[in-house]
Amino acid sequence: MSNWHDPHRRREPDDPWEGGPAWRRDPGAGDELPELIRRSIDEELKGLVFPGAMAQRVIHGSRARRPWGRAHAALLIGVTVVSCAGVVGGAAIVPALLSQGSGAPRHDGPFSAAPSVVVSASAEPAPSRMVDVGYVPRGWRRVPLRGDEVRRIPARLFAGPGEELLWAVRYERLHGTQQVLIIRAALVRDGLGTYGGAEERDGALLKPYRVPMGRALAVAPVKGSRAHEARIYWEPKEGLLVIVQAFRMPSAELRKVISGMRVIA
Amino acid sequence: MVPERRTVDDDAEFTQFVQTRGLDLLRFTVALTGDRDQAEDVLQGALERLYGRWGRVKRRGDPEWYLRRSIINAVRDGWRGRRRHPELLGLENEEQPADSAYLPIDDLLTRDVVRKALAALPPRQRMVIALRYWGGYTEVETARLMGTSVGTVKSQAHRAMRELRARLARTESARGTRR
Repeated sequence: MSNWHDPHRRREPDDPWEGGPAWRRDPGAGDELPELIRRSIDEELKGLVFPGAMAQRVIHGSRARRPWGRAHAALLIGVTVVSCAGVVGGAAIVPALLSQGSGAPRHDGPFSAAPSVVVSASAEPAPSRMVDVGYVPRGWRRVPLRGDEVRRIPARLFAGPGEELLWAVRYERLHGTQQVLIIRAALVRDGLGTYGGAEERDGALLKPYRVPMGRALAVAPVKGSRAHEARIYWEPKEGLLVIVQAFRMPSAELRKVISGMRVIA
Repeated sequence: MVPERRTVDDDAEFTQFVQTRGLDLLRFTVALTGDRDQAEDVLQGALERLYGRWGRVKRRGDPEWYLRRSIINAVRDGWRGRRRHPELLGLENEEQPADSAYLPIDDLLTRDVVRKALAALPPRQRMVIALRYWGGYTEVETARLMGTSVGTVKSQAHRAMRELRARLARTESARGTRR
């Protein structure tokens, strides 16, 4: 008889049950350990609160992250149709031109219409804040504001009188990476140009920044103390300015954050 | 790939689903991972995947079951990441030698001891134990959720329970030594 057919051979030395391999039995049968496990995990879950904004974060984060939106799809289909029409039309016209000479009927050729992109805010307007941060990268958490972040726009970002800070929020990445993101919304009298001018006078290089609505300027990081700081001034509509400051944040992630932001008032 | 077309109703339904089931799903994820921050990230990622397929999943099956499987897959992906980046593991879960396990003597067989023993289990075994004894899933359901065989679930559960009993026994003997 082989070892495989010997029940004593296959039984484990510490097998608490008789009559077969222990792993075939219910490992928790007949003792209080399963109940202890259940209670200990329940204790771990005490006081757990579900973040109420997660659904909105997921919806807008998905839109920000998705590489192919509806407008892209419409554009792709449009280009494909136009190309096909061009090829088919060309195949029909060229032989006709060759056979009939200059008396051939003229064709206007294919035309394309630019896709219209409409950005609409679907969330409920909240009087206390005017911008919704829809996407925050994984591992980042909202933390309390520090010092004068609560009260006013810092002097370095302040361009002139008439500004009123409406709302500010600070996010940090966990595990001590010193990656910080501060977003402020302010009512301003002067427009984006004034802020850009102030930055340029400080020696900063400005470049346009792509945003879902309105227009924005990005301050290119300069060597030295600002090497890890990115600043973006976004004017989604006249009189409202959103200032984004990111420290040591990858530019791809920053772009997703800005794509996910919406003006809700 | 072009995402499926979504309506305002879909968004409203999805939001309602998340608000209704969110806390239970977060509890489920924390039970599997033992870490609240990690659980929140895992759940958010799983919800993003569900949102991308909300219409299809809703029509063809049970969104919650899909989400739970997605969460389990994401947790397992996290194990691979941890193996690649062991510095994120920290040292708190390092196993102590048997003869030094005398610190929580008075907490013998209490939930605290069990919780620490659970935290020290290999992640796959912890997952099986959490699904079986906290989640209340049968062996067949656990196997379906984890995408593995029933035999694997049984053997993992058996090993986990044996390990837990051994740890509890060591703690008990340490208490006897101290007295």
